[in-house]
Amino acid sequence: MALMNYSIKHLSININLYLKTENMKYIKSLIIVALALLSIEVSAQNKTNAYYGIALPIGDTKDYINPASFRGGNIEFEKLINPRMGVGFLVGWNTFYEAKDRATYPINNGEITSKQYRYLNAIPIQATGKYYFAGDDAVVRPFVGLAAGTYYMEKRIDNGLFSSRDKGWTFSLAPKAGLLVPLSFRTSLALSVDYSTSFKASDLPKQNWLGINIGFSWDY
Amino acid sequence: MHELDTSISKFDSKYFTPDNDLTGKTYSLPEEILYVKNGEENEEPNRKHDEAILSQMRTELDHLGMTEAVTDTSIAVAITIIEQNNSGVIWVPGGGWWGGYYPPYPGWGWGGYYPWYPAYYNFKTGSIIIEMGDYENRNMIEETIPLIYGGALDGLLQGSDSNIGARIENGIDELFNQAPFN
Repeated sequence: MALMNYSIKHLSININLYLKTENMKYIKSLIIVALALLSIEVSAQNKTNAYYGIALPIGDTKDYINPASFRGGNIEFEKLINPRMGVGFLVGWNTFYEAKDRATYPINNGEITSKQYRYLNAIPIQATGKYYFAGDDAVVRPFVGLAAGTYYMEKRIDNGLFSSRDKGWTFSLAPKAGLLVPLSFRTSLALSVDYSTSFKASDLPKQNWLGINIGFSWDY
Repeated sequence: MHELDTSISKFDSKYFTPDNDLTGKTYSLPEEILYVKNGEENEEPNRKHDEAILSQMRTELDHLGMTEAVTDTSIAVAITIIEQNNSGVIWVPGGGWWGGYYPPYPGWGWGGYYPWYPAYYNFKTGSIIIEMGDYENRNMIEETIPLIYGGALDGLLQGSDSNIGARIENGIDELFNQAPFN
């Protein structure tokens, strides 16, 4: 627990260093609320949830990169404020990639003809809230939840001898639903789907994808 | 291998407007192509592809509705071949160079005065760079010609001679199918 507090503090310091823009203030306060909730001393359990994540691009993201991402994962530290409700803190990573055929693409005052390699990296740093529909003695524990916070996004396009990159922090929301299947007293199999939205920031258009997550949840 | 790698065109949007293109203008091609090796001019290059390049350039420029200048020209064309891998900056339209039509090298282009748009690049061996200047609007005092177009064919002159022949034709044609010529 001490280690966890330390790592959360460490992350929050890092976040403070990066959160500079106006709209980041809102995200910052969300994270502060989440951290405050986490630090409430209750006798309840803690959970650590770790997921491998597949992401299916939707909307603008699909226009930019069509194939599903099989490179992703996240880890969530969660505190149960009562047996049915948890609040937590999530960090993760998703990377999308597509190689486009050789074609002519517009650039500022010109055009380029080449193969094109497109990348999108998304690092979520989010506060989470969850509601479990069944207690921890149930065979299956369905849950719904919401994650809100920021994505650090990096969008890169490589065209042969030419590379362009946009990066920055965006506001993000991800409603989710899933279930826990307890395997033992402390360990559950965890499955969830989420609908992630990264809202438009100056150089970064809105992004959407459907996340399919499989992992484990540990109680302690 | 006939497959081309990357071709790129950049132009001066103040020169190329819906009301102004190169139709009816005259052009002047360089007598000799400039060869650059390790950032310096190679005085004694192997010029076996010069004729094919200049010939393809004439075809393309004529196709734009231009004619080759007899005396004064409206557009000056410079052609450079990178003989060895070369990183640096290329002039972007809006800058200027002086005729003859080559400005004194190496103060030209690689000096860092005119950074190429936010791009990291590294021209491969055998890249061809084609630039056009608005010779009618040259600055006699500063001895510069406004650059209105810069095009690059990355790594075109690699491989066997027969393949290079095909790629010179296809590659230069590809540049002239990009903005602002399309």
